[in-house]
Amino acid sequence: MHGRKRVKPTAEVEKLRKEKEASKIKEYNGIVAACLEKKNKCEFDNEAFILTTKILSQNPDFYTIWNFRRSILLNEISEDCSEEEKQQKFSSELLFLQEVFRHNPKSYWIFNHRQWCLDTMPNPDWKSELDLVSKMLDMDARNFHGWNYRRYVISKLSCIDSNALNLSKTEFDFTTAKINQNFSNYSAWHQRSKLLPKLVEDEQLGDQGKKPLIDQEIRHISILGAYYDSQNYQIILAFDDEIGMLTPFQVAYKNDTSQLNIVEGHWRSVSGSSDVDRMHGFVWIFTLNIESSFNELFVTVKPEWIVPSNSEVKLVSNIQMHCQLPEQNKDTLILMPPQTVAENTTILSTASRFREDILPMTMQERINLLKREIATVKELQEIEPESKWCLQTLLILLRELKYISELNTEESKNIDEEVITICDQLINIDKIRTKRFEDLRSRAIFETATNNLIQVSPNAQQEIIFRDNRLFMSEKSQLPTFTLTNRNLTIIPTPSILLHIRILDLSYNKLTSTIFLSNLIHLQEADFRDNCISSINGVNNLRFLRVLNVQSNLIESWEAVRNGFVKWQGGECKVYVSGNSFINESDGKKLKWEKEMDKIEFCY
Amino acid sequence: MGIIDRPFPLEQLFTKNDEYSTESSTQQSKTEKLVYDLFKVVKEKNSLKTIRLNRIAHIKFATDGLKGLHKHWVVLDANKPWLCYWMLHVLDLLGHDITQELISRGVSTISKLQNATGGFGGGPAQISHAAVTYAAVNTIAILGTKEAYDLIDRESLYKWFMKLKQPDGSFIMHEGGEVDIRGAYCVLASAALTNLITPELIAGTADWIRRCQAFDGGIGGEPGLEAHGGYAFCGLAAMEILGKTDLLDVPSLFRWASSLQMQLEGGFQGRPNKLVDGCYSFWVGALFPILEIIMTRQQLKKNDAKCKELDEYIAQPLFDREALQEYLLIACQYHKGGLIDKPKRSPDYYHTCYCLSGLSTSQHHVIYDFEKAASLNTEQELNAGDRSLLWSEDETKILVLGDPSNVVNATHPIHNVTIPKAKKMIEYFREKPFSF
Repeated sequence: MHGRKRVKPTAEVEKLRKEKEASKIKEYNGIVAACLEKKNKCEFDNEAFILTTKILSQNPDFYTIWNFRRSILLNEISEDCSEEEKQQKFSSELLFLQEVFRHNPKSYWIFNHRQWCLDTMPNPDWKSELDLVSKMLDMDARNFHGWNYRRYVISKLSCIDSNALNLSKTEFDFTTAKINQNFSNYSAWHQRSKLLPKLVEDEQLGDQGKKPLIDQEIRHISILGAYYDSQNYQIILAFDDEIGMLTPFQVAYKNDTSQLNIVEGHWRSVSGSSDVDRMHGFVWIFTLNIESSFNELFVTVKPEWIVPSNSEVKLVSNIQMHCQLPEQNKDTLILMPPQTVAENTTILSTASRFREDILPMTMQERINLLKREIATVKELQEIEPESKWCLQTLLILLRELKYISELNTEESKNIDEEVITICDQLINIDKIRTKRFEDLRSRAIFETATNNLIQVSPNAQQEIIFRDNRLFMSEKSQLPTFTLTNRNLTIIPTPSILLHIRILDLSYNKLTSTIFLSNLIHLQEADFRDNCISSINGVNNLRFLRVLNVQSNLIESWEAVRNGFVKWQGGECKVYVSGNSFINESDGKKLKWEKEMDKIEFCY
Repeated sequence: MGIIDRPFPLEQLFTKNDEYSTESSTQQSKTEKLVYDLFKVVKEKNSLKTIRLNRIAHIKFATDGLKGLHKHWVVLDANKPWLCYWMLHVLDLLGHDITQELISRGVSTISKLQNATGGFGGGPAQISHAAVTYAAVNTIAILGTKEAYDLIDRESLYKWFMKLKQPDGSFIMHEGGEVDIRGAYCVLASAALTNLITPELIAGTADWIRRCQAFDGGIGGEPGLEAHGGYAFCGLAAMEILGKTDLLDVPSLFRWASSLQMQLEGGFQGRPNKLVDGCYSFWVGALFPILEIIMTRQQLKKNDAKCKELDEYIAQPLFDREALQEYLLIACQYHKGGLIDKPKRSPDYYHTCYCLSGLSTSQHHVIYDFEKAASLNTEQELNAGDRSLLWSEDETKILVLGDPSNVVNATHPIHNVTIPKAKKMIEYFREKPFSF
């Protein structure tokens, strides 16, 4: 390899080597045969023991021989054998294992046999085992057999050592030492993650006794809005695609005795006939079966929806959205912040991550911790302004802070702006992940921009309503308008917030798809000039759409336009298409579509 | 994507250690340099399109192994079925004929290893072992004849499986042996191929495997252990056999798995901050087809989609298939035949088998018959072997790097034998219901 010439051994040397090897194989096979014969005859004598020693020194993976060796040992100690003699026997066995380990540090069988010896011998010396495993981890700090064995030794030590608190602490210090030796030692970090909760738990045992761990199974359900249209007896629900699925809600009203009665009706997705349309954002319309108008309705998540059906969690308090419907303006969007649905329940098992060992911590403690961490990372970032890890960590921490704490508009806007700046930096620093940061950046920009669209309702804490539509009327038009142009947006993360918008201007961005439009059922005009859209999607159900501008995008064929309108349900609509590669500049002027599309007028 | 044809210099992909080097980062840099030197030549010569899989040499490596081994391999004396499986699977992947002579020899070898008390040992007169039995059953699948299938004493095999079963749902590897997640996978995979899955065999196992998922999303060998690429495969594949993948935190497992693909080398590491190793091309690489179908399944369920719209839901391949092929073809082929862990290492049968299995996983897009799954009542009620039958290859989505002749046969992501061989065995034993 690599220019180094190997001298081919002469035929004679090769022959000698083969002969030598053949005799060794013969010898090995002879020992194995003799040993297995002893095993079959159940001869648990010293001769057999010596044979197993010979075989296992050469081949520690020979599990059958390990089992036989255990039988021999058990046989020996079952005979007249004092405690001291037993102890002596196993001590020398442990020495033998140490010797074998030296050449084979990754053999399952060595560790298995060692554990058996220690569990069987009269007085195992766990402290010296701990020293030994420390040495093993000095030889290879990532050997997972070693780390696993260490946990076994510790568990044994903690059984006999009443001072368990101290043990967690010394183990914790051990991981610190290992990490100081090699910061990249992920095995030590993992071990630490197991010890931290133990430490906290141990320390709390004194005063707070059996303070239950905070419920770790936090399942988020965030409903973006419910919108009640009394004219058509319809409720429109929009929700986050994390839980998007067929009708997870039930609708109820209160009767005279304040009891909740389920309202009968049926659900329909308005997000188009194609399932692809439905994948992006979720808007559902609930049509009441009876013709009756309510001033107050309750939208509840169906209980079976909140926790997996196979878990033993019982839902104590239903997540419930109360739609107090104002007399005059029934166009109300109610937003609910993410809820910890499984609060106050004892979690036994759920589908989510195994989190037995997460630190018990209240929300306020978590917020304080996040703020402290943000400050620390910022200090670090001042020293290393170009470090992607600092920026990336900061990004994660800031976003979590934003979502878990109840911030006022100003605070959350500040966080968004900080996030945008960090994304801009990361886009430059980490070139191979540019797209990811562009998306994150878009999310922050969108969230800041839509903050204005909604406000906290004066009536109820959890209720957030659309601001008066008139605030969003532009000079051009008397209709609610949303404009977000020239911001390099790559995605629209939560289109449902735009549910009320009639005129949408997203020109001069980097959007690649119009699919999110399927949720914006009131839309009349949509401007996507100068984006990166390659086909038209999600518009079939927009009954009121009359202008769609996709000029100067990346549409390459008529097909990509036409397919968007195959199931067109709206009225007359103008579609502006110039500046796309499929349009021949000389075509110019007006373009008419085929007969079945006579409602759509294509304009240059 | 791939690595070599990116529009920026390869040097940009070197790990930056911010002048704070650790033992791990030093080793990492050395490994990157080895791979970089090989990639650079290809990039400069612009020879990516003509890179070849040295098929003849690899076939020779495997067939030579069948003739006898150097004394250095003495540890494998307790692993004979593994040797059979590695070598035969390599030949099968490479499209080399498994001749009648080989089949007879294979049947004769494996038959000597079966114990009357059930299962297969690593050599004649050796006690049965779960991993060895898995290798023996897979070998029989590759041999693929009635004679080979009938060699298995299913009744004693099942009874022995039940002896390995622990009250908490886990399995020990052999009597007197250790518990870990390999036991669960090896038992379940063998039982799925031989139609031996029963409610009593699998009781509690899914929940035990769930507990092996670590905080970072990966899966460890036992509850509480650090996650590891090999164990993650065992855990996920076993959950898929059980039809219980929903018990796992799939998004975090996916995130963990994708973070193991190396940015310069293109291959996978087995744990964070460890070095790339060709064998994880399969152990980690094969997580992706399974994760893809889980995600597709979840989307279908979420949207109550009809099967005719299925195409719109099929998840795309979720790792960089070209990058992995670059690593395997450029950095893992030993010039005299056989494949290796990383440059400058020597070949062995284990790495040859799993590098080529990984190559297969990255070339082929295996898919799942959702339509059939839906028509067969709810999936939970599907028999485990039936579930393995639902996998097939989408031949329109083959992606072969370099010379078109580099294509190898498609391997089954749950069993790691070629798809027709796995299906044939399952179908054979399906006709022989459980009757003891």
